Amino acid sequence: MTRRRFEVLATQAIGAVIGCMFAVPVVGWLIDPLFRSRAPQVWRRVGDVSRVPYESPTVFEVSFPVQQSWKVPESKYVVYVVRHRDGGIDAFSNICTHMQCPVRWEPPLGEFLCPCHGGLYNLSGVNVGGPPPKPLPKWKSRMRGPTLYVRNQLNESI
Amino acid sequence: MLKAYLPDRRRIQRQVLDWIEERTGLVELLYKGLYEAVPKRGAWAYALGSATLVLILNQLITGIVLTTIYVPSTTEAWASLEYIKKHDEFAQIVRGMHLYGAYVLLFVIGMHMFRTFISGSYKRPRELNWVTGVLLLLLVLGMAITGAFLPWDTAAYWTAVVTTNIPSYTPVIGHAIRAIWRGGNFVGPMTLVRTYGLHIWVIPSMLFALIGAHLYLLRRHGEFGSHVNYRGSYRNPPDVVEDVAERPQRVEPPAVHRELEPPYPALPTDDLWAAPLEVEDFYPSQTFKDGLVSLVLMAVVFGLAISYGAPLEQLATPGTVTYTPVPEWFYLPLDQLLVLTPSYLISMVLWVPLAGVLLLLGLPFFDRDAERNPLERPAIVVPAMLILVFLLALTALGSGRLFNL
Repeated sequence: MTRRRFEVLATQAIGAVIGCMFAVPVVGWLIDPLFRSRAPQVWRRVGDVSRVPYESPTVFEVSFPVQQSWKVPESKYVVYVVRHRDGGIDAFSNICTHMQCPVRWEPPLGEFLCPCHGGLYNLSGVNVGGPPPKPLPKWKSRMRGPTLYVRNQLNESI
Repeated sequence: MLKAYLPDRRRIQRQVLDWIEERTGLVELLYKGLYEAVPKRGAWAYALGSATLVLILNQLITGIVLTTIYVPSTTEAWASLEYIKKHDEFAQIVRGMHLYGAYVLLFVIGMHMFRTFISGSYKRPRELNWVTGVLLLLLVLGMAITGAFLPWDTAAYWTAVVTTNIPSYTPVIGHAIRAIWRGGNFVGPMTLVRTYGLHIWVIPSMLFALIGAHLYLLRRHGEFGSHVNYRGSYRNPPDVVEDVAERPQRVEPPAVHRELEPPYPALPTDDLWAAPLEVEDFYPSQTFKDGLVSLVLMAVVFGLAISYGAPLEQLATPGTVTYTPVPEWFYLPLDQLLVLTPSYLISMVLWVPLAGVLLLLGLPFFDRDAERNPLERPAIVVPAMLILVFLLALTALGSGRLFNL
């Protein structure tokens, strides 16, 4: 190996090493959210749902931590409680599966409407019109007597 | 050294300038910059480029000033702007200039691009002027959308939710892109800080580097204007062929003489287009027009800022069943595309804009013919106009839909 050839290779190698010193911590930190969630999983009381009218989605609000790093005040999220006639209870989020806009129950339509791009979901959360690709997501939930609890996690990824 | 530039009676000035010139070469650079020969006809239309630069400088100055009061945190951002709105009149004007400056900037970039397209200025050897221009447009759109997150009011919050969700339709890595941008699965504090980083450092550093490249390329190839600066066209050459060397190259003072070579001799008739029929000095003939156009546009920005001010809605909250998110006006075509696209074609929301960007970037490479007259190149101009009509129709449909809500 000539001296010149050595210098060429060494310059490139030194560049690569310095580049890695930048790249490893920077990229590692940027993609960190892919590998761990810092939001604590919590159960929150929605309320007594035994008086919710049948087949009439009713808005409840719960506070969830949106912790991605340091602690910040919790955010309010919407739970649409639907009581079916067979006794089943669904705790829908109002997050549209299309672009995650806030959907709303429209009594005259008898459907959930997303105001952004006109997505429609029926009483069971099935996407029945417009662009949404998936059913309306539900919060993971459980009943304790007449009281509904939800967790800050959706039943499917959107 | 500078005898050509200055008369004798200004000897002291000349000695000072000579001293600086010998050490830096700045004086020659300045004179080259100021006394560039630019085409005379159509000069008002060429003012749109400088106006774009002035409006970007407005964004830079007002943006830097805003960092002295804005706090990029979900708990403070809204409050800092609410404080400005209620208690700090000058800062509110600055914020208004930043907002309306962005709106006017996007509009003027569109016109600048349209002018460049019509005059065929992207043709050889200016392909990369066009390519850097398209990249600059994308960066400015990136600035506009990241900037829209920052107030963290309801409008900003839903802009953040929808915008960060769009890349999630990318095959395979979509959800990863969304999670990296958001800093998690949901929009939250990390989303705001990351987007702030993009808005004030990442995109601007690329933007200013590319502006440098854009201006360097402009000066490297010179301004040859549109077909109105020449006789005839490539397809219909004029009958009388005069000597190009006899055309006036510049008006007084002839500080720097540009080499008189035909730009890129691809055709025997290229001599005809070696230099515009009439030229004038960049300074002060073109700068006067540039200045006036910029002044009018800045007056619009300033007027909007002092009379309307930048709006601020309620503090962001994900828990709403009444709020209707509305996109920024410059994203209306994309938003309307989202409405019109059925769920089984949902990834079109990515492919259609991507195809548009590739078409724009590729324009100088598939329209290679030397013809500059828009009427002589219908194969390019007509499809482009149809695309423009399509975008305007989407905008009209979108705004009609939003006004009816």
